[in-house]
Amino acid sequence: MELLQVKNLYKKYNAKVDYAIKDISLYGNSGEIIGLLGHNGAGKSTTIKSIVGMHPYEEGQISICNFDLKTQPIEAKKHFGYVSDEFDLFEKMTGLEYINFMADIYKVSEKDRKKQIDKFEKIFALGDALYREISSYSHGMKQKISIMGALIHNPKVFILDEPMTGLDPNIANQLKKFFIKHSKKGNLVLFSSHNLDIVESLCHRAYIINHGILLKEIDLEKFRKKGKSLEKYFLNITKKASKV
Amino acid sequence: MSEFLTLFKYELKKQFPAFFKRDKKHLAGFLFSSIFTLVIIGLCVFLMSIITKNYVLVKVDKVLDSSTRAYELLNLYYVFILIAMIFICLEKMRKSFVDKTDRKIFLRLPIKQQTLFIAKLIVLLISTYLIALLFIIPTNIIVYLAVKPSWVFWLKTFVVFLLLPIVVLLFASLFIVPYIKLIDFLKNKYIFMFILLTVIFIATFFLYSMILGIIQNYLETGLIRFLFNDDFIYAMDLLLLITYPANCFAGITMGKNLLISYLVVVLCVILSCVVVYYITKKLYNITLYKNESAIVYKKVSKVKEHSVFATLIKKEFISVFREPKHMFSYFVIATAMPVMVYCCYTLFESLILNMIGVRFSFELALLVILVFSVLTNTFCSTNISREGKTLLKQKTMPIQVEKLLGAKIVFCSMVSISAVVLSSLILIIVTSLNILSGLLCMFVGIMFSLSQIFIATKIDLKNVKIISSSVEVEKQENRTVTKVVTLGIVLSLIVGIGDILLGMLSKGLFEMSFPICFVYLIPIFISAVYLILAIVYYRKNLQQALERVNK
Repeated sequence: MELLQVKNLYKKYNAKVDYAIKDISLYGNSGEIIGLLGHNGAGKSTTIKSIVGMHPYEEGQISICNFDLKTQPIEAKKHFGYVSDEFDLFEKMTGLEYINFMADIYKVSEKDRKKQIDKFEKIFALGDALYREISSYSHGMKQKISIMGALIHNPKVFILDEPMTGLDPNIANQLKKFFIKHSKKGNLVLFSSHNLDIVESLCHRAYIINHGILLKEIDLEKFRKKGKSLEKYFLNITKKASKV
Repeated sequence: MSEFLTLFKYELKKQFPAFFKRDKKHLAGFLFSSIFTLVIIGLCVFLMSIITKNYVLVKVDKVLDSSTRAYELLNLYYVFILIAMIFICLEKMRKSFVDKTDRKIFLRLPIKQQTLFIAKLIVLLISTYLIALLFIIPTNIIVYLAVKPSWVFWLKTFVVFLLLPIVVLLFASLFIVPYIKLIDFLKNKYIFMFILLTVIFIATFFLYSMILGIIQNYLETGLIRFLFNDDFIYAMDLLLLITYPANCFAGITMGKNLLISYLVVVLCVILSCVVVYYITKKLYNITLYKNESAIVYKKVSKVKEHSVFATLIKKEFISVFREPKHMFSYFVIATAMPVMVYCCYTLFESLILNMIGVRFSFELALLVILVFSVLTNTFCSTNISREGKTLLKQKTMPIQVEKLLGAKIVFCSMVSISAVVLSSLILIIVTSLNILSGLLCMFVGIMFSLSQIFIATKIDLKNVKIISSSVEVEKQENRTVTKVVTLGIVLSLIVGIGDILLGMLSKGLFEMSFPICFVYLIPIFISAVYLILAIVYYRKNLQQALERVNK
């Protein structure tokens, strides 16, 4: 089942400058983990920020769980959870207040949110920190609470922008396990990353973006079977594209 | 040397950001605050010059000794200057040497700690001199104009200007540790801090208006000539004996007890150089090397369900109440508004009554309530920009724009309406304002406040610029305060002063008479039109305006 569809997406930050992304089309199915690859400034974050409704886009169509982002934004937004590359948390709230806020926004019942908090508590082990102001959290803790907030309504589509940046190996490992678990339940996980190893080991498919253009869609399961190196392929294809 | 210059420039930019921002919008804000500061200084200078002129003419045992009187008064002024500057420098010192961002710079870049420290120390010294300039020059001009001493007075003023800031730093560095402890203690005790700030603010305002009232009374009755009697002069003499080192600075300026004065001041300066260097260095070392304390604020909250709108209002409350700067700008000012309205109303009412012999209760109450509601609602012009990156996050959530911004409007309205209602009630209960007039003031004040909130929020939404960098430095620029305050103040003055003029016409002070009902109807009509226009402006392209918010 197709949970995410992006068709011919164009985005400009300023009328005077060129498009930040041009003609991006991608899709995501139920049960998949998808990676967005690219150099710094390639357009990964712009693509993700457009998908989640943070940035308005000039042309194209985005639909999440068959709800169009432009015409049915509220319905579309109900079906995804988003973790930003920057910590855009309410720093003056305690961790639990933030989780409660997110649960209220996504209209999660008291019973369900308690269940979800217990579940995440076991995975991320925030413990007493839940009762502390977010401003006192470390980088990893902020990432954990951000993920907990994004997943409180158990979204069908889970979108993350550079989720592994700055995380210690232990937390990164927990997160990877969680991606697999979440996708196995029939959900879609889409994330951007610089880390080719993580994308190669974790994702079913990957999209390579270069200078705002979608260069290639890669079936990583086939890639793994053939024993190809994603790193070599990525460097090769981006080098060729840059020459062109 | 280039390392020092870079750090020095960096520190200067941090301490004086207004001087380094070049765009016109920042310039407007900077000019506005500069003019506001100059008006305050001008008001103080005006009051001080009246006191000084009268005081230096006081005769003791029928002998006129203006120079000695000026010496006594200058001593008192220097006491106030020292106290005010110590408080300002304490905060500057804390911000300068207990700044955690320095830790990041110091740990990441190959910078010598000593270079960073010296750059900070020099910038602190420069800012102390600038503050001293604002205090000492106007004070000494007043004294000069009252006594007219020789040109040597200015030479001595220059010496005082050079030495006084160093002595201020000495006192500030002696109090800095307890001050930091106090700030740390208050840091997350939000309710306690709110009560404390409100009490201090109200008390200061009350005291200020009381002094203003007394001076006004003395000036009106001409009693000011008899205020400075023998007892007063003896009290001033007594003060001279104990107020070290202010009396020494006064002595240097007026050429009294020169030897002792110079000796004490020079000793203070030498001591200052050692103590300030030692304490600030120690403080900075602690800032750079200590482990950051993680436990900040603990609150055992329950997992509880709320509606989307209620949770958005709660979020607004938390973000304002738990940020001391915002708490003061909004909650403290709004809580103090009834007291400020009452003080200004009584002061102006008696002033007008004495000047023209007619009471303008409704008109004056309206003017005061409108002006203070504008000042209180200034905070709403940061409704969007203070959200910073979290505003972008909220764009990704399934929240309708009407709810997202409506929660802000409702939250601000709750605070603002409460302040206007309480202000009107206080005027009805305590002053000569009758119930009907009070209720009408309340009605007009509420409409005016709501209009300001709608306009401020929309202007902020249209102008918001969200900046963030990789080191999590978030800067929420507020470009709308100047626009909103100017619009509000101009309108409130037009309505308020216009209504006083209408009142004059209706009370037959001029040849042309006017029906009294218009005094009530015209402000109601104007504020109703203003509210309708504000709502229309707010609602126009609201969704598009939010969508346009970008980084």
